[in-house]
Amino acid sequence: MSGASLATSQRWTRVRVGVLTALMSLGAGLVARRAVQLGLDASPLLREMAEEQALREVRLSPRRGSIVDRHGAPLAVSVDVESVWADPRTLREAGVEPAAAAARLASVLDGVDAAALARRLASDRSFVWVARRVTPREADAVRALRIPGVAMQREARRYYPHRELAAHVLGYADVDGIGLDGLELTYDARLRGSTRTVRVLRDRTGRVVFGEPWLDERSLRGDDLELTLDRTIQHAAERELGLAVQTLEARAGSVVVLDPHTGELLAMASRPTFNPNEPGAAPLSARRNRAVGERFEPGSTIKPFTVAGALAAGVIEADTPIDCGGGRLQVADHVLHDARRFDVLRPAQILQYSSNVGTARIGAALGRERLYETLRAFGFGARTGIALPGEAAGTLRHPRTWYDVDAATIAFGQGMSATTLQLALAMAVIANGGELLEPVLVRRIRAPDGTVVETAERRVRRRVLPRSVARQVADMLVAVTGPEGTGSQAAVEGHLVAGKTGTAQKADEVAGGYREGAWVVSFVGFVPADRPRVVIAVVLDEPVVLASGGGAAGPVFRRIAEVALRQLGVPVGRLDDRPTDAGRAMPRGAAQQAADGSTPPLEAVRHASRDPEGRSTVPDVVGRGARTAMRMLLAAGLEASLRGVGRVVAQQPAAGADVPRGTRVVLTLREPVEASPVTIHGPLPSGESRSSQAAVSPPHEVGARARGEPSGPAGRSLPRERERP
Amino acid sequence: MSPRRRFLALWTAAVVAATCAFVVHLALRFETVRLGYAVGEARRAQRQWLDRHRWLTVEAASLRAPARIEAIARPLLGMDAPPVHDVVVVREGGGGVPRGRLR
Repeated sequence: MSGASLATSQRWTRVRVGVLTALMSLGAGLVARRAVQLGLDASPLLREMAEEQALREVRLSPRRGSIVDRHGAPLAVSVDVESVWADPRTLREAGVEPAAAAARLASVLDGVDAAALARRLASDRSFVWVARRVTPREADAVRALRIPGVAMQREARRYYPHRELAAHVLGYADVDGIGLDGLELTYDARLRGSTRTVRVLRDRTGRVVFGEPWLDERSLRGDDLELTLDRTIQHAAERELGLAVQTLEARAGSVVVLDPHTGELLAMASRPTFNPNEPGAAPLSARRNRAVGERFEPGSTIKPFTVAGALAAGVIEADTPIDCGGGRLQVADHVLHDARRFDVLRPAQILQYSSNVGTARIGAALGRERLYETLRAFGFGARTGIALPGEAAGTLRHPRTWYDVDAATIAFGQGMSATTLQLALAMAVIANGGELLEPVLVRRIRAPDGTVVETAERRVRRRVLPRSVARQVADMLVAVTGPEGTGSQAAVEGHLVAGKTGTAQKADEVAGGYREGAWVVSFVGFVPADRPRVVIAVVLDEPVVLASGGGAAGPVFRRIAEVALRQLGVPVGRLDDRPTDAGRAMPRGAAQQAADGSTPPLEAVRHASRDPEGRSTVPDVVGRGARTAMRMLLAAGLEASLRGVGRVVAQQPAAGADVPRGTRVVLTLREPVEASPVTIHGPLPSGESRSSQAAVSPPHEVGARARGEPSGPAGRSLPRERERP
Repeated sequence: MSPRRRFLALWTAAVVAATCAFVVHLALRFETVRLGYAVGEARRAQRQWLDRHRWLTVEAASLRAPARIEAIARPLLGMDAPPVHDVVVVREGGGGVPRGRLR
C-alpha cells in the first residue's frame, strides 16, 4: 500500500471512530437524560402507578364493643366468624355444576336451601352469599369440600350469651352490626367504633406480602359499656316476673329494681320477652320494653305521694284524723268507694288500708295546683331521661283541664298514667330522704384499651320532700306490709318493708270508660325500710287469677327482694350495713324516738340481751310501736310475730324470759285511743277551704260542687279502685 | 503489572462487586417477601386464636348464665336458696372471722 492510501485509510478510520464515539455518546446522553427524567421528574407519578399495581386498599371494619354487667359478666359480645360466599363465574370455569355444588354446601350448612342456592350459583354474577356468620365447625366443613370459587370472609357477629336476660335493656343489633333497639341503639356510635381504610401490598394472587398493616386492632374496636345491672338480681326479677305472668295468666308485666341512693338500676325486666340472638323470631309486642315504654294508671301506688305532698305542704300532720265517710264519697254525680267501710282514719291507716276516700280528702285538702305540682315534682308526666329509646312520659294533665272528680281520682292514681320506672324513681324519693334522682343505666364507658372514658355520676334532679317528711311517709308505708296491710304478702322475713299496693281498673282505649274485669296490679316499695338498699316496682297487666296488687304483685316483690338483699350482702337485722351520713346512721324515726326517750339508744338496743351461748333474754317491748319492737327483738336475736296494728299491748314469751336465739315472740298490738278532730286547711275540689268538720260532713256537700265527667285517659265512667289484702 | 492488566483487574473486581451487591439485594428482597408471607400467616393464626378465645368466652358466659345454673342446681342437685337467717355476710377486706356460724 502506498503512503497516500495508508494515510487516507487511517483518516477514514478516525472519522469512523469519531462518528461511532459521537453516536455512542449521544445514545448514552439520551439514556442518562431519560434516567434523570424518570428518576427525578416523573418519580411520583411512576411510584403511584407502581403502587396502584401492587397495593390494595383494605377496609377494616371495627369490632363492636362489649356490654357487661356491674360485675363484668358479658351480656353482649362481638365475635369474628366466617361467612361463606361464592363466585359463580369461577365455578363455571372450573366445570362445577351449580346444583352439585349447592347440594354439597347445603349438606354441611344448617338452614341453607339447596334449590335456592343452586339458583343463585347458576346466575351470571361474580359474588353471591352462600351463608353468613356460620359456626367454626361449619366453616371447617366448607373448607374441607374444596369447591373452586367458594371462599370465606370474616365478619363480626353479635352474641348475647345469656339469651333473654336483660333483652329489653340491651336491645339488639342487625346483621351488619348496627344497633336497632335498647342500649345497642342508644350507644350505637360508641359501640360501633370507627372504620378505617389501610393500604397493603399484595402479590399477583392477591395474597398480602408484607403482612397485614401493623395496626393495633384495639384502636378499631368500639367502646365497652359497663352497666349498673346486676346479673343475679336481673335473673331473679325476670324469673319471678315470668312465673307471675304465667301463673296469674297476665297479659304482660314489668319490674324495675334500683338503688334509691344513686339511681342505679339493678334490674329491669319485661314480659313477654325475646331472645336478642334471634330478634326476628319474636313478635314486635314481645320486644317492647314495658318498664319504660308502657304507661298505665298507677292506682293506689300514687297515694303515698299525695300524702307526702300534703305533709310537706303542712295541710295535714301524721296523726290528723281524716273522715272517710263510711267508705263512700260522692263527687258531682259520681261516687267514690273504698273496699271496706272506714269512718275516721289517720294518714298511716289510709295508706295501710288503701282508702280511696281518705286519699281523695287529703288531695282535696292539698288543692288541685299543689297536688299537680307534687306529682310533677315526683317525676310523673315527664320522661326520666333514661338512656333507652321509646320512653313514655306518662300523662298528668294540667289542673286547668281537670274536672272536679279528676282532682279526687288523681289523688289516688286514676285519671293519670305513669311508667314502672317513674313509679320506682318516685318511691326512691321517699326511700332516700326526699331527692328525685336521674336513673343511671350505664355505669362506665371504657375505651378498648381499658381506660375509663366516662363515668356516670349521681345526679339529683330536685329535692321533692324534706328529709323528715320522707321519713314519716316511709314509717307509714311499713304498716302496709304488716299483717293487716294490703301488702302483707310483700313482707320479707328478717327485714322491714315499706311499700304500697295498687289495683287499678284499665281504661278502655276504644269504647271509652273502664273495662270490666281488666286490672293493672302493682306493688312498689323498698327494703330494708329503715336503711333502704333497693326499691322494687312490680306491675302486672291484666292478671286473670288473683287480680290484686297485694296478692299478685306483692309476692313477686318479696321474692325479688330476698335475692337482691342476699346479693347485696344485707344481713338480717343488721342496722349498720351501709356507711352513710349521720342522718341515716339511725333507722328512720328512731332518732326522734330516741330523742324523746320513747326508744332506747340504738347501740343499747343492738347489744341488749345478747348472750354468746346462743340464748337470749326477751326484751320488754310492751308499749312500743311495731317497728321499734321488731327491731329490739331482732337485735336480741329473736323473731317477731305481729298480731294487729298499733302499739304492743302484750307479748309472749314475757319480758325477761331466757329463750334460745331465734325464738319467735308473738306481739299483740292495738290501736291507741282516737284523737279529737283536727282542722284540715286546704282547698276542696271546688277550690274552697274547709275544716275537718266539712270533711266529715255528708259527701253530697262536696259532690254538689263537682260537675262533669271524669276525664281520665279514656274515662267516662268513674274508675273503681279496689284493694285486697 | 502493565496498565492494561491493572485496568482489567479493576474492571473485573468492579463487575464482581456489582454482581455480589445485586445478588445480596435480591436475596434480601426475597427474604423480605418470604418473611412478609410468614408474618401474614402468623397474624392470621393469631387472629384465629383470638377469635377462638372470644368464642370460648361467649361459651363460658353462656355456661355461667344464672338461668342455666339454676336449671341444674334446683332440679338436678336439689339445691335451694338458704333461709335468710342462715346467711352470714362475709365482708371483703374485713380480715377477720365472720360473725355467726359457718356450716
